[in-house]
Parts: sequence; structure tokens; C-alpha cells
Amino acid sequence: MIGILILTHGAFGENLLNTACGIMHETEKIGALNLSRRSDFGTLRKKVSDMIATIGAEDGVLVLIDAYGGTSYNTTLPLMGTHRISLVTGVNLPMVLSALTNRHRMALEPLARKVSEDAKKTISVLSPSDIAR
Amino acid sequence: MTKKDYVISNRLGLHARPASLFVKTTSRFTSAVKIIKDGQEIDGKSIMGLLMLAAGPGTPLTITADGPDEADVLKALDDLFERHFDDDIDGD
Repeated sequence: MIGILILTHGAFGENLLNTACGIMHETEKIGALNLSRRSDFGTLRKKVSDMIATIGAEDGVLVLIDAYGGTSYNTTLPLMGTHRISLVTGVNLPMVLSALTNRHRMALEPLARKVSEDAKKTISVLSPSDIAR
Repeated sequence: MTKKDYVISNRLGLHARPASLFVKTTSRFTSAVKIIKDGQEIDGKSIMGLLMLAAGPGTPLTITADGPDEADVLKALDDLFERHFDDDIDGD
């Protein structure tokens, strides 16, 4: 099974994961970290590396990050050379739900593309005409 | 292929938790499942597909199942709809 790790500024990643897991009733091979504290990249990188090891997913870990170019992104990008991970930025609830649903039946790279597409599909601007639907 | 009409009967509609239950149910079977709402057809094993339907209370849906266990899928869905997706007042 593919593991899921959410990395965010502040605790919202942990809350997001708890919410998604509550909906999906999933608890295996998941984790979340708050990387907003002021630490050097080496310390943060070790924290992420240790969490990937703790999740211990034999098929790799899908890492979902809040902001492209942010601390989580800069921390984790170099780990792609040494760990079996895929990174997707812009994490939101639909992305996590998609990851929890599809990780049982997809390989790591296709799963990363799938959750990215699913998350984008759910971002909409609604107009008054949508009320009639 | 087997086809059946349903109406969303729980008071909060097909929100995240019922959608998750729906997908977990259909994924237990090998048959392909499609949901049709207002001419829009989605994969009945995709939670995102279900959420994107935005099916509120009273929404009519047509569900098709196609495969060796198609009758069993619809029987399991009959049960889900009768149980109102085990939904409570705290909808998401």
C-alpha cells in the first residue's frame, strides 16, 4: 500500500488528515507534520525522512504539500533523490480523499497525477444560476 | 447490464461521508458502476466523481451496474439507500 504524508505550515495538515481519515475510516500508513517552526533545512529534512520511515510503506509515499515553493516544498524536494516518494503541491480535502481512495489500486506516479487532477476539478467559482441545480 | 433509479433520501445529500460509503460499497464488486444525474455520467467507484455530482436531498439518480456481480452491487446499494447511508445530523 502507498503511504500518505501531509506537510504544511502550522497544524492544518494534521487536522486535514484527521478529517479525511474520519470520513474514509482509514488509519494505516499515514502521517502529517507541521514544518513551520524555525529550524534549519537539515533538521526539517531529517524529520521528514524519519516520518517516511515510520510510515513504512513498501510501495512508496505520496507527499502532499500545502504551498509550492514553501518550507515543506524546499525541505522535501531533495529527498526525491533518496526516497521512494512523489510530491504534489496545493493539498486540500478532495486531494486527500482521492489519495485515500485510490492508493489501494494505483502505483505511486499515476496516483500523484490522479490526486492532482481530482483536486483541481473541485475548485469552482459558483454563480447564482448554480442555485437552480 | 442492470439499471435502477434511486432518489437521494438522506437529509444532507450525498456529502463526503455517504460518498465514501458508496464508493467503499461499489468497490467490493468487480462490476463497473455508473451514476447518471441530469445526463451527466460518472464512475460509481470514484469518490471525487460522486462529490462533483453535488447531489442534494431529493436528487434522482440512475445507477447502472455491468459485470458478473451486477445484481449484487445493486442489492448492496438498495441496502445503503434504505439505511439513508447511516447518515446523521452532523453532515460534512
